[in-house]
Amino acid sequence: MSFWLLDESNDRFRKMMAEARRMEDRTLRALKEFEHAQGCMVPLYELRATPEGYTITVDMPGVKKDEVTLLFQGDYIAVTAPCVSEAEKKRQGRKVRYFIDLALPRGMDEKSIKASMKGGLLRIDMKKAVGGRQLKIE
Amino acid sequence: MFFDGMPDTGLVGTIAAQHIVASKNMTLSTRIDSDLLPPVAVVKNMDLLEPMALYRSGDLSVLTSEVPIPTEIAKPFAKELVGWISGKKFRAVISLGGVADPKRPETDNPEVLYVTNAAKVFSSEVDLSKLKPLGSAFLVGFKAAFLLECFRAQVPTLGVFAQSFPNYPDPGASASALGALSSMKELKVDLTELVKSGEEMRVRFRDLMRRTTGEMERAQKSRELESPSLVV
Repeated sequence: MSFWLLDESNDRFRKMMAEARRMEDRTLRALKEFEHAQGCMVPLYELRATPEGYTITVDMPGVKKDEVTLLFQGDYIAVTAPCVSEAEKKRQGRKVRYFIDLALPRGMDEKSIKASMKGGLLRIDMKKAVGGRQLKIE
Repeated sequence: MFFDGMPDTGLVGTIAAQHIVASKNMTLSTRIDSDLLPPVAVVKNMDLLEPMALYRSGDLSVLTSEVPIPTEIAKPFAKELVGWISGKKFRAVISLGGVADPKRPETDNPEVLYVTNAAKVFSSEVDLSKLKPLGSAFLVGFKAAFLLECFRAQVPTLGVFAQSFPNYPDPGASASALGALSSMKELKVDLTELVKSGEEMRVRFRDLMRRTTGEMERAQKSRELESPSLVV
């Protein structure tokens, strides 16, 4: 009996894994189609919570600080920069640029947004908007 | 010596493996395939290759892959592989990986950690005092399954993990890890080119990193940021 249950849950686990992989593949294919249609590269990025707010890092190897354009659009930041990778240029058969729209978390203080760049890694720090009401513990 | 450079955090082992293969002009020695792997072939110079392969030069064999190992087959694959390694009587196994560290952007010299079942064997070749022992931690994914099988089979094994970007290819971490192992004659390679071509590698390995991140999430990779609760 216990083996039967184990087999059944294994089967369910495999099906879940296969579905997750299918969904991931659909997303990755859409991303690649977008890149080829637009002549761009969507860089890898990461969003992390900090005690004060959030930090977003964007991996754009080879890009210098002065080459990046950051366009703040209220609820997202559009990031563009030229991509100097020879391999990518060869793969797409044309000059490419990095491009990504970064959705911002809600409740950020837009005046606190700061960006810096080191070794091709763009870092955007932002703080939560000050406000709210302190609750008392009874 | 057997070198495991399978895709993992920051692709630290994979980038290192690729650099070793290129630096030593290693040749393809064994093609690896399984019915459980996705149907993928790599086209190269009018040849069709399996995405996973073993390269060899002298006493060194390097395992690397163009695809991450699906989580469901990590254990049976690791078992099969270590059985094969035991049969071939490699003198030692080195498994290179990354350990995700959110503070990685703040350092230019990533820390290198290790775990071994044969400190005596390796201490004559590597100054282990310069590395940090991997204390209480979780290892997850193919590397975890592979190291477990190596320890079970009592194959002299050194697991080396460089502090790495969690989700970006990290050639800097690969260079640090290889630098820490440079006293081993099989792994002595010039790291200048690896450091110089780091930015190009980060672009080239971007797609594999995306796939590997997805696979790592399915293997509960976030556990590596947790501490085990039980002392067994």
